[in-house]
Amino acid sequence: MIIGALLSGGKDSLYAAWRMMQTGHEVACFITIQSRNPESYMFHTPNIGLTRLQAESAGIPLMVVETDGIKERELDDLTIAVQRSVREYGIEGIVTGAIQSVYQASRIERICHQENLWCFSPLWLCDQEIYLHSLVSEGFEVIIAGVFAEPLDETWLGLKIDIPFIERMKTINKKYHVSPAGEGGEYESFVCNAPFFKKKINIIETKTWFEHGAGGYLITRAELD
Amino acid sequence: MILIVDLTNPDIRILSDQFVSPVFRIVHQCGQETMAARLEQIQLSQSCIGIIICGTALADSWYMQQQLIPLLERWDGPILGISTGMQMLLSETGGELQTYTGIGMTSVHVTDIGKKDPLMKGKEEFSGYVLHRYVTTPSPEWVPLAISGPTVQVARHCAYPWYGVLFHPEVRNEWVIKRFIASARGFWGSPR
Repeated sequence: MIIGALLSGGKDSLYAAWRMMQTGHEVACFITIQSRNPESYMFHTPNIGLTRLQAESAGIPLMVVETDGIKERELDDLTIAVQRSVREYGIEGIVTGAIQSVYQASRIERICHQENLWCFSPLWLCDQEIYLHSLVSEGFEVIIAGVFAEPLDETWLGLKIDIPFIERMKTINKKYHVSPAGEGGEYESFVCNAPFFKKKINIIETKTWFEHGAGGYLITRAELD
Repeated sequence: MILIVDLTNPDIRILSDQFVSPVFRIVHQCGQETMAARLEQIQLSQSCIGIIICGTALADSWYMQQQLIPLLERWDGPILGISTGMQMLLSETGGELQTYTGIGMTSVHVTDIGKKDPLMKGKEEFSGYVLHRYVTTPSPEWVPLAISGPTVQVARHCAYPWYGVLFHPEVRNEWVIKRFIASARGFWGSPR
């Protein structure tokens, strides 16, 4: 099946796309919704501008649609992007990285239903710890691009998701009930390398911020290796 | 052992990750031996204490060319049909299939009969995640245990320990699956 993959730049959307590829589907395009609203209900925002590097590295065309990020109206912008992907790439379905978010999943399901498309969420209700281990073992290089919940502080920004990270998340999960994969919005991630990337993304310059319990790791300059 | 039946299109294997694996994990977490099988490959074993028939994607219509009847003829023990599984269970026992799409969280009200049933006992109203293109109006062989307006969300067969649940209990309502497992264990009295 020919698929369009929603791409936020984070681990879940890219891993979901990878799962589709692994099971014989063709990811014909990535779709990025670039929100002007940092509080977007639907779309991840940190470093979203860098999805172009991820798409370039994967050799997959990227469709970018801008949105004001106003609740529900941003879904109209996603619908436009999906319709364009059907016309330009002949996609028959959409893959999302939704893990637990009923809000996100049901809205994308509705758009797919309306456009007569399949909707895939291969990470849906997955075991998050196993998923994180799969990311690491399958060669994804992922860093923390934003933190939004206690006890995650500025020391976590830019950290790589690796085995020690997973162990720390396990401990934190027990005490603070923080979702190991950050599905509750506790943290955001950025993928620098994936098994289907031809080149790794090198981060050259960053700007970090942390205030009132939240922080970001903004990649201001990056290039393909 | 709980047998988990996969109704997803066999040509799109990844659908099992989304619709079967989450149910499998919940059953497994209950300490229950679990086995997953595709509908067309089911083999009933002596150790089976219950069957859960999972749902599938909105766009998937493969199951519509399949039948549960061969399974129902061989099995009168506990069954829990989820979403598409409920649709097949009810429609193949005299129910009427109707086109009616549901996507997202919906309010579920437990009926007076439902409040006395072990599956819904202690619940009055809760939210359930639905994902369906059809609903089934049950035949008189089925008793509605919970509803959303005119739609039957949970039903129980009058003669067999068979339940149909239209919403996806694996999403935010794991207790439904856990209660079903408990009732399946109780149904046989002693270990099989």
